[in-house]
Amino acid sequence: MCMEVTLFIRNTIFYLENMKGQIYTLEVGIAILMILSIVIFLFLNPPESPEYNVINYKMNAYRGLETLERTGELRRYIAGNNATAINGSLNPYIPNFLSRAVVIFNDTTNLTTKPSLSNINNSVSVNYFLAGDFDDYKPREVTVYIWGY
Amino acid sequence: MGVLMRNKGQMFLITATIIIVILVLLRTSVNLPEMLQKEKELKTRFEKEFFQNTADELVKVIDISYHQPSNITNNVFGFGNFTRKKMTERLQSFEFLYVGVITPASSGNGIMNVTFVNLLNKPINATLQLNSFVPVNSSEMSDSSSWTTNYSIAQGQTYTIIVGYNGTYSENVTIQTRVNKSVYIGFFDITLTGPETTYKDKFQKNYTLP
Repeated sequence: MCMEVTLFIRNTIFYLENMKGQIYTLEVGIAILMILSIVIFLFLNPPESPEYNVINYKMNAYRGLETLERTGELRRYIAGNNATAINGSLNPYIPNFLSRAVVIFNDTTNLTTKPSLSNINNSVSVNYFLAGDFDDYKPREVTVYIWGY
Repeated sequence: MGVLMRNKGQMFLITATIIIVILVLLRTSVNLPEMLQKEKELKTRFEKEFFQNTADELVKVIDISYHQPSNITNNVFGFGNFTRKKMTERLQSFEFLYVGVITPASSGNGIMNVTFVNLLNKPINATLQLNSFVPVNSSEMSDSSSWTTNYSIAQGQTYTIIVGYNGTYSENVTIQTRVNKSVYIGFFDITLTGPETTYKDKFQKNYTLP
């Protein structure tokens, strides 16, 4: 058994010594692949700061509120204190891996449930003012809280 | 030298590793100012859009209150106060001067009602002057207050109100009155300031009331 293992190792070394050219070519190929991969990775996917991503999340949430406002849905939802409907309508704008909550405020207090963010390290908020709907002046602020990034 | 010649393949791998490290360092250092610039631009754009929403919504108060003309100026005042309070909580600044003018739906002569709203975060001495008549001065207006004065007018005529305060500010508001139609004019002077940008605008909006 010991002799067979020794023989195997000796044959492998002999085989490798006679394959120096191919091994050399393989090493060069690996080196070229390594460089190419890094070049493609760096220049196709430029690194972005985490802060930039957070601002993007805020911007997208704002866009979502703007779109709802343009269609008249936002005013309707706010008139009914329907933060849940606003939250659901933001699905296309905020990635699923993020947590979020929508709160409607009047002048003095929140009219819908406010999330408890005291144990959350990173969170941001986006605010949108509305004066009410036609013939129904009611100043409100909608706030979208985002966390989990 | 002989060792290097015998280990050409490994030398390629080592050289490749060195080149990769250099490329990564170069890309990161070249990219950093660009990244910071992009970040700043996005923050500024976000803040500008928020300020635009605030200004647009102030104007929208008039549309919302359109069928209750006697409440329009009060509602604009109220919304200005609401917005300022919320923005101040977030360390943003809101300064707002507003003049609301309403003329009656009558023929012949009528009374034009002019209200000056001060949300400039400071007390002021306001002045209103109709055409070339003697200016009317308010007593000192505290911040978050309004002052109303009236003028006799002839319907169908065009008037100019010169809005001023503290002797340094002067803006003209043009009032085109209409026979048998009530007209509402809102003059807005808004300054919103945040950590990234400042939004300033002055404009007039004219409405014919139902």
